[in-house]
Amino acid sequence: MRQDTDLLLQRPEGDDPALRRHTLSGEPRLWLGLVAVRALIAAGAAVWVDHTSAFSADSVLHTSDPQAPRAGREGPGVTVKHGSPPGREAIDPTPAEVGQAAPSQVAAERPRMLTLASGTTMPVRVSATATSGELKIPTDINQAGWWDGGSRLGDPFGAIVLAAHVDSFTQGIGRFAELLSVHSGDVLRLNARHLSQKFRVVAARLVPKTAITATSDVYSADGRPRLVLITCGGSYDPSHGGYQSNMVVIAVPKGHLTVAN
Amino acid sequence: MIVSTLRSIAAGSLFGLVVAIPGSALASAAPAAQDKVYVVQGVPGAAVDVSVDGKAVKSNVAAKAIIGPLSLGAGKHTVTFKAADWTVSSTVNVSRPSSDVVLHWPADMTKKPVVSVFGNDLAPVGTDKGRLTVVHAAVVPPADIRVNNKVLFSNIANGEFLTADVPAATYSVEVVPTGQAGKPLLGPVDLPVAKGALTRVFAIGEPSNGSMDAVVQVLPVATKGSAAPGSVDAGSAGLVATSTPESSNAVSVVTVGVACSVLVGIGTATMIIRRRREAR
Repeated sequence: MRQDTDLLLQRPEGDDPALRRHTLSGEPRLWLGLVAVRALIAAGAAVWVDHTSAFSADSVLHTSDPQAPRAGREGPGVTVKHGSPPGREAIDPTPAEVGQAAPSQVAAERPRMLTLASGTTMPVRVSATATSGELKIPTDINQAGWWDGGSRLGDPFGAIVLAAHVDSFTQGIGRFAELLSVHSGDVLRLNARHLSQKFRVVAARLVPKTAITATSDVYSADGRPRLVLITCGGSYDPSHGGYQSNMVVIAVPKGHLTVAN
Repeated sequence: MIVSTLRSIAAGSLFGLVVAIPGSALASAAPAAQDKVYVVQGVPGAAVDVSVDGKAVKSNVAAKAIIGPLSLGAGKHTVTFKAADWTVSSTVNVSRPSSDVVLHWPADMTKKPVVSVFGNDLAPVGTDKGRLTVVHAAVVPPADIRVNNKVLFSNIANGEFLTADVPAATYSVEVVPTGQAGKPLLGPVDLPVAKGALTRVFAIGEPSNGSMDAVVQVLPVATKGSAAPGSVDAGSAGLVATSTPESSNAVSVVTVGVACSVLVGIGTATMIIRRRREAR
């Protein structure tokens, strides 16, 4: 078996030029940037995430001024009644304070609407993984499915995974087809019931379907928050299940999470 | 199991963080269907007698002890804490399936301790995750909770809490004055957050007399969400296929991964491609 780190330093031989067409410009950095990390991963090892650097400023859960000082809980003062015998003071019970969430609290929510770089919007439905291991996404090519085991908008870590059909026999080409020509830096937006977050595309690649497994980092609950979009592409072989590849797009938060009521 | 994992907290604690979880707390594996109340003694150095509605519950309760769960029933109850030189009595409105009644110092220690009630969020947590809640019940100004050297929770004041669902893992946690990294009021301590559990951390005490400490409470919660997919079939018609069929002699198997952390500072791509030969 070849060393994985060696393979990170070069394009894969035999890489289909048609596939390359779909990769991002400047992608050598995609291959090179993580050599150090990958070098730590033994061949066949599943997932490794650097906890010490998994946070970023973007992952801080502040939606209000984080530096604005607040007094905090004040004491009620002494409520000893005068005239009570020593050691047997009568106490008027004071109502216990109900602990409140700090203003910076974010209640994570599952995504409900995706806006693609073109401005096209797609409703997001909840999708579960079947016992077969297949993610059951909406058959409607105009809708995306959110993997219900993944992170939500507002979660401080992990992948928010959305998938949608690239086409269908009855509906033609789907909205996710534009992912096949996505560019680094493209801005997407994800909306939930109250939350909204822009994401900036940082990576995209067409990979054989067999390359992505349940233990792939694309599905990891670890690491900084990120949006993972998955659809189909590449060559099409009807006798072998149709599309042979998945298009995987990774985007990271751009700016702060915003909260609307 | 939970207790044993939490022992590592105490072992690694700079401040001797002690986990106080009565066996009865761990026995509540069933979904909370009744009004369970945990009483948390968060005043270091004090031994208090606890009574509820005039009935003695437990005497001589040391700091960091958790009493309960008590099944008080919904509605108002009077909880009284009697120490050698003060008595605090509060009415508590029990309205949630699970809540914590916490005796702690307010932000101003010249006053008496106060009682705050915190609801326990026992909603199901996502696959491979646990829920972490940090409660500020210490005599310190508004604080940031730094996790793995970065601010995860910002600007939390006395009597407040912050919560998030995080991957099950052991985290390095410290409490610092808001915006002042490098001046820990507590920690750093290693805090395990278990899968399918609510881990509650109460920061208590007062830094100037060295009594800053933490109480950790772990309650089981259900998990939700399906397993990670093994496959995503997201197209059927071949309308956007590349012209050249992908022959089976393309022998590469690619593992796609993300390790965004390395690239945070670079601001560039985050996809890892790892390839290995597939024998066909």
